[in-house]
Amino acid sequence: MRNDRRRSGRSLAILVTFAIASLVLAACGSSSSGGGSSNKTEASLGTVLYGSLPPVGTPVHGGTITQGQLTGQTPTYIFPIAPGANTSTGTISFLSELFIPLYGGPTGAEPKVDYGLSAANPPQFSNGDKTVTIPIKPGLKWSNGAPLDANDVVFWFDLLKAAIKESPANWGQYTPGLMPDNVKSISTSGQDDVVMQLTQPYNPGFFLNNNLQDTDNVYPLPSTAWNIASAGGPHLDYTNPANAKKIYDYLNKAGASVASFGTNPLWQDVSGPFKLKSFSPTNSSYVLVPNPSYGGSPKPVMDQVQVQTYTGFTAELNAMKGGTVDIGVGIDPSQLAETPALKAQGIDIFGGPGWGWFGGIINFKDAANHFDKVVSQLYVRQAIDYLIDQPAIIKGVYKGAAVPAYGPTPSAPLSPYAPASASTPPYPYNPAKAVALLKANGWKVVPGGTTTCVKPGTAAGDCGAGIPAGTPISFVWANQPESVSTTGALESEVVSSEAKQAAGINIQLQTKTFNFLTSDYNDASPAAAKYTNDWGVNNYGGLFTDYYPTGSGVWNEGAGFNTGGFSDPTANTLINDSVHSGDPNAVKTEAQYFATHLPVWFMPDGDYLLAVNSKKVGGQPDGWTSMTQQQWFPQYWYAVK
Amino acid sequence: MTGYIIRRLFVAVIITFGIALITFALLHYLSPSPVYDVLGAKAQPVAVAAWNRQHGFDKPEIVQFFSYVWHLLHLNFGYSYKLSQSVSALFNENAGRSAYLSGAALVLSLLIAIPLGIAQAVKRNSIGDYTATTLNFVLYSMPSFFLGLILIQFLALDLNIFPPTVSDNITTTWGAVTHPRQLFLPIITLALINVASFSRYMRSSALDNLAQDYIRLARAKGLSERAVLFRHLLRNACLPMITLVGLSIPTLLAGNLLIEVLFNYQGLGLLFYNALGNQDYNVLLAYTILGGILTVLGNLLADVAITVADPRVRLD
Repeated sequence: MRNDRRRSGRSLAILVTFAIASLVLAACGSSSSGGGSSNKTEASLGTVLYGSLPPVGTPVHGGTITQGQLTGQTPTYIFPIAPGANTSTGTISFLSELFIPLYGGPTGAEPKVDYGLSAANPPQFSNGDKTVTIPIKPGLKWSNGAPLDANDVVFWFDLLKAAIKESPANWGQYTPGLMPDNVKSISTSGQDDVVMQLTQPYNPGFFLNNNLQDTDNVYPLPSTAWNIASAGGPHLDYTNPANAKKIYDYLNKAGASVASFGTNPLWQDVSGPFKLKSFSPTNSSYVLVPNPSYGGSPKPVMDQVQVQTYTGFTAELNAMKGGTVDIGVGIDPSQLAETPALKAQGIDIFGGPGWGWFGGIINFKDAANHFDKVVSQLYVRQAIDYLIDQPAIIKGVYKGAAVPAYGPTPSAPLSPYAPASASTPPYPYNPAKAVALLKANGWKVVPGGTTTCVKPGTAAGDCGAGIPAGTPISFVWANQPESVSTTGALESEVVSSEAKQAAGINIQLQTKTFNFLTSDYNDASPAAAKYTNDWGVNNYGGLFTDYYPTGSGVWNEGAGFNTGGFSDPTANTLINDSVHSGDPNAVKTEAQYFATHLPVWFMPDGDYLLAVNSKKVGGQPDGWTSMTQQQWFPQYWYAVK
Repeated sequence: MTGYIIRRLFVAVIITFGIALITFALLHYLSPSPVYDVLGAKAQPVAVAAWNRQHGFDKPEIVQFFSYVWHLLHLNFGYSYKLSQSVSALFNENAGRSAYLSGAALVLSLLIAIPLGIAQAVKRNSIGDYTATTLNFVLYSMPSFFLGLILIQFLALDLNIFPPTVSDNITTTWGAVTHPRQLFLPIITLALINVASFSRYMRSSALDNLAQDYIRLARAKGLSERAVLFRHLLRNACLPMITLVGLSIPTLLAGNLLIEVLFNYQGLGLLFYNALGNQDYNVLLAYTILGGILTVLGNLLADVAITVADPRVRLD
């Protein structure tokens, strides 16, 4: 009897288990088909889009729009002279929501100044491009009623000089020799004109985009309200450097105090489209309300914007599905499989490439396995570039959400400074050509094995100077962990596998944190000299470049961001032309040179993906496409009927 | 007993010191100084050296460690350069919410597991016993985040009964207490995982006690089954639960990392998760040490509690 009951009980237990397993499997399967479409060109929008933009919709005045932000990209600083450690995506957008930049941008997705978002009209260059006159738009006001005028730009400049004198790291955009070092003097002409005398002639495109615009990091500051060194203290003459230092120290300390962002009266004097209503120091979520004094355009029409912090895109997307978030940012390509199901709920996923370059930075000083000598040979860099199949990487790693990038200017977004060849690969994927190139230069190529130099020397057909016989092509390729940067890790695996199988090139993959990659695998940092021979390629991600995409500061000799120690006299000359000559095409020539001479093995430019609940929110196209550049302008959004 | 407690506390101090030393050494190896987190990757060497000198990071590691211990003794856990707040302030902000989440889940799981375990023991080998056992094994083998995802899909996204994430407006512990609907899913997720193990222990303990003479005597004296179970069996069968509750104390404050991340709940676990991504080493160090202290204290409390509950147990 007992055995029978146990057997029947066991049968029941098995049935129950199967039932539960079925429920679990049903819960897991939430979509049937794969991801959405690949990128398609939207010339009218100046970029290439993944997915489709949310509809414009019929605007409704009022309402609350909720946007998600991800942990690690939240605002950590509120004073508009932000240190390098605080220039995250969240902080940059936060500042431009509260303060109107001197020259704002981008224009939609296009990397160029948007004068509607700016405090100034186009600058005028004269005196052989050594004098810049910046006309502040008349009639702009601070929220306390004071006029926003040329003096506020001088105030910013004086505080910036004080900040940098204390420590160059006090301004994230600082590059020695450029703003403010390249401004000999600054003055006002009347109420609305700022006049800068420069130390030497500068290309107007370079100076406007990389010194005055500079990723929205130049902000007029309220010179009649903030010229104090303590709360309630006397107003000081900020043109006195000693006073400027005191003022800067006070504002810098307050600007870093996350706990008081929402309560410090300083931060209620704003010029941007929004005022800060509240800020949570616990998770950096915040609420914005329209600033009625805002002089830019468009002006916000909603009642408030709530920005809520999420631990990751999964939690953010779940909140969107639950209806508590209207706009989600930083969607991961792995979630694109949910696109059809999300569309059915009225949630549109779209994305676009950022303006910058991405890929593996080559270490030209790594002496391990004579790599420095090997990689200094252009044909070696070309051969490895022939092994990088960008279309396949875009399809397999990025699920179609990326565009090819063959140089410092990607094929999209469109830019007046990108050369015509930006979308044409100089070395399209061709393993046979890679092998042929190596063989023609003295290498014994062993696909799947180890390729070695068999013709040392400097004659035609030899391996090249300093490469002994038997030298392999072998180096370390360092990435961020896959848990942090899935695409970076995967694309390095693809390249490593291809290089080994096709050409016998040994690439050892290594994982390091972002901080380690940027601070220790860095030839530009003397403190990192002990690691010089530990890495051959550093793929920490890449750089978002200024709108004028010169390699100045990155690839010229001794530049602060010359991570790989790239040294090329021709490049130095081209960079100098881009920065100082009046030739509007100089930067295109420079970009073409880097595309063919490869200081970096350039990788696809991944789309920045976003999600919008189109049933609740609408907006002008520029308001959506600008988000693909990781800058949000909530003044473009509105609730819809 | 007093002597035992003093000896255990002494050992706890040594263990905590050891945890601090190992954790400090490991984190210091990974990041000798947070200077680049503060000054940025482009910081000039002169500025880096000046900052390190100013904040004591140029001193020998052993000196830095003892300086850290000295601050710890004064309840100064250092400063989070990423969040621009003291670590103590961050812990104060988040500890209450974590404690509420874990505490509520613990209480709920005990309220379910104890009667369930007793019922399973009394109705041993019945259909109900096998069903409960199967469910327990499924829950026990299931990662907590996976269970959470299932509950989110069904109860939040499909049926829209509960929100999929905890609202950002829940910024205080009292806010969490007064918004039960917001916290239902994370609490029930944690509780169900705990029920799986607690009820198995309870069942096993109840079975042992049901076979004891005192139960047989109670039944022989004509007591009702309810009286036998609740007046005699319950107290004795619950003794192992005391140990389990003691071992759960670290999670009360150290947080439930995965659940807090999944449900976007602002607690110590989420703070730790964010600190991992931000390489906020002072937060990571303080969290690890706190977890170590709580584990040691939890064990001690469990041992002492057993003595109180069961006079037969003596601590030497």
